Amino acid sequence: MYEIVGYRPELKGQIAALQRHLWRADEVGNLAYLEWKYERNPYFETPLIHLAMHEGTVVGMRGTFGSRWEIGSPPERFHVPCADDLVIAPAHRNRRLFGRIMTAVLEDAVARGHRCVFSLSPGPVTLAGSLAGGWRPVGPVLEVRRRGRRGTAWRGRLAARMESTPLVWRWARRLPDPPPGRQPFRRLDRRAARVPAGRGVWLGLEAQPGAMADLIRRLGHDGRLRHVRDEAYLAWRFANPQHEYRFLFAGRDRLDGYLVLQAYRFAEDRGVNIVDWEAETPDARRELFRAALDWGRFVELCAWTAALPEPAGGLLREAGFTPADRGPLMRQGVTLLARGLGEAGRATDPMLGDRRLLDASRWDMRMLYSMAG
Amino acid sequence: MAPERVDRGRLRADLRALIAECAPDLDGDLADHSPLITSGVIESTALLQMALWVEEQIGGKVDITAFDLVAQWDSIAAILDFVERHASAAVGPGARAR
Repeated sequence: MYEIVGYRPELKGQIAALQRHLWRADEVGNLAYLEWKYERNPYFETPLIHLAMHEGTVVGMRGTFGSRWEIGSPPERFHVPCADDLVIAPAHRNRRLFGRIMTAVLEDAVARGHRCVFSLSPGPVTLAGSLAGGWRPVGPVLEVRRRGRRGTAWRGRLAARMESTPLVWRWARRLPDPPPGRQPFRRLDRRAARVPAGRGVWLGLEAQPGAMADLIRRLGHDGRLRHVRDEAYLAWRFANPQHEYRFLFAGRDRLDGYLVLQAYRFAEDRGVNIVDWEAETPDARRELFRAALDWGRFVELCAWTAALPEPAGGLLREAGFTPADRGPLMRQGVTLLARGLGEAGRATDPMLGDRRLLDASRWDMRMLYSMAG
Repeated sequence: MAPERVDRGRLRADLRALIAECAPDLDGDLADHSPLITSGVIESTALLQMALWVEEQIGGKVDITAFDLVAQWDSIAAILDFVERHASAAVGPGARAR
């Protein structure tokens, strides 16, 4: 009845149509995302996508994108498949397709020589299914959120006028809040300096992959597991067509720090995320953060804190960030998953080299590394 | 609020109904000890629904990453045992299976 097959470019159109169940975006947008993520991935030449076919139609898929990680001092580097996009057409759910697709994914990963796979932003359904399939939890990302001032100036004025108007006053507080993802960077784009200003922070609409990679190199590596952030990776990563990015840079003659903000192009209900944040000094780190808050005044701003250094965590707490409960099975944000690959995909203790991975403190995990950011 | 006493018969009936809904192609009746997860009878979406059902029964949150899901929820009997163990306890996000 069902057949599990590997990716073929001629099925792209069907995949993009199926993905409407995942992102509710247009098929052109889905196609652009698929091509960026899998066909232009810097690490896997051949896309690792598995499809469930029913009578010649694509009814399910799991996409696994390539990534490159480093761990230890001096660092060892490894390519790791990251299982990500999962969608099964509603009429074909609860037909045991998840397990069949995942079996094919894992067997293919083993055949390509991988000994470990990650899942970096599983939703509740994927989390439950993965745990049942031998994936192991590394830990939650400890997501925090800050709700900003809701209204713009005109909304405040309107509310004030309504409050002083007979009969209408009772609705003054019922003015609907703007969705956190509607034009999320509008204020930032208007207010932010575009060249190094007084405190040396400015806004870039484009990434500076070379300068950012150079800063990361200069900052060094503490040996925890992290994605390799070289120029090629950063250039590819910030070309995600489903996301919109803004870059706050610190420094004058050379880059002293950066903070990357991200929003979803197709989800007005989602706010802005801090997806990466690096600085040479505590002052630069603080100035970048203050600039994001002051210039952006986002309706909702989120960050993953599990791997943040304490000074950054302190800044978030002082600014009023609180734990973000994302609902059932995601009460501290997403849970990172890893799975070791034994023979024929059999589950083993996930390791890279001789290092075990089921200890969240050994991960320097940024939202950037997952497709959540 | 957690129920003061667990009515195992009612829970069993509820759970069977949930499984029947989640696994429409399931043939015949499931025995209490028939494997659910390791046999592939229930997976992703059904497991999520089951997690929500368990939370509802115990009146608290369950962290499914904190215990061996396959070992503890692989049969109707095992799930009912889990609910009974946790029904009277305050179960927070960090709940561990006992």
